[in-house]
Amino acid sequence: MSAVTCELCPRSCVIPEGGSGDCRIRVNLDGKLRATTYGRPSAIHIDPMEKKPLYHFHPGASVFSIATAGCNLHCLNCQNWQLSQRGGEEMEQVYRADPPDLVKAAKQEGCKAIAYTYSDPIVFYEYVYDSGELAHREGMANVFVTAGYINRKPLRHLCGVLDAANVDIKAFDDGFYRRVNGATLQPVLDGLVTMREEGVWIEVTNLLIPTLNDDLAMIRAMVRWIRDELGEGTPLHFSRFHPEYRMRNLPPTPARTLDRARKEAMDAGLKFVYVGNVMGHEGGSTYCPTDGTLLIGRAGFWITENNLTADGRCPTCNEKIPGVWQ
Amino acid sequence: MKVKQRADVSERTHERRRFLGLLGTAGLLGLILPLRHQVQQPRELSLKEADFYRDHDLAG
Repeated sequence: MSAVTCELCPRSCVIPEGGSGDCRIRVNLDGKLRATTYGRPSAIHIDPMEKKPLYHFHPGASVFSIATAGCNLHCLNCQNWQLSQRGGEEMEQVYRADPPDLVKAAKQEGCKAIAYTYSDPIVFYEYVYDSGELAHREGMANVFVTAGYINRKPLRHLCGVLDAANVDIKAFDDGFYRRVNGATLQPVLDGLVTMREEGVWIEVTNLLIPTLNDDLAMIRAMVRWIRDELGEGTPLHFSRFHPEYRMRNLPPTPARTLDRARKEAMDAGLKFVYVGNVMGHEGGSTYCPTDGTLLIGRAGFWITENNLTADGRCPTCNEKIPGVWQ
Repeated sequence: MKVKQRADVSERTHERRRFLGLLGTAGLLGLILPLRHQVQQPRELSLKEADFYRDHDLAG
């Protein structure tokens, strides 16, 4: 009987033969580490790119979005807990879609990219990598929506097939990560820096939960870190919390909390700060940081107008807007 | 009134009941086992069926 150590994420689970890691889906079969959900997604949907959310990456494009069961975090407020906090064998619906099937289906649906999303795609790493390679060969991009709790070495390798990522910073506080997410902060920050070094287009999401991580001093510290380590052009999304899973005792985030956080981030020098999960908020649109021209108007996840030039510049002052526009 | 005892039932009736009992058990197993097997098998990719978990409008 030989145990194996999974070196994918900072948990470094030591898995006995026949057992599984903390994520439920990485198992030790006959002394070898396997991901049980390889080629077995449980959620598949065609979403707008804005839903990931990615606002500076192929705006308006359809993205073929998939997830398998399992996650290496255990957020008390998870909005997809029916998927993320289960093993593959516990799912009511599991589909057979090996990488070629997946890429073929995405292409047939006219999608510009495949998004690995909903649960945390880190746990189905091999499936992402193999599908990502095939997607590139077919001219499609790969998008990663993640909490970023992964070791640097496997992440650097994965960056070879990733084009864009939306990474959550759950809070700029290690204690919050331990209490609410069952994880730690530093590996997430290290992962973001690694992605930037590898040339992956990054947008950051910070879900604001009333009383738990909406302190302006904490937000200020996070914003300064993003500005200094990732760059002032990195889009930041402040998302509204909705009561879910084991955190139904708190109310949705008030709009004024999101407004204050957005102002704090813009005052600190971030150029593109958005408000998410609030329909019709002005913070859902993109404005030129130089002259305030409306560049991309959005209502929810839908684009109402796109005034960017073909090469991604402001039509008024010609400022180059960071992003991947074509 | 005379109460009918088990010993009064003929051997032929015994056999008939045993046979019906076995038949019923086999029938139940025949129903349950294929269903369990079916639940655990992954289905072919179908976008129409797979279109779930997205019944809310939150980002992600």
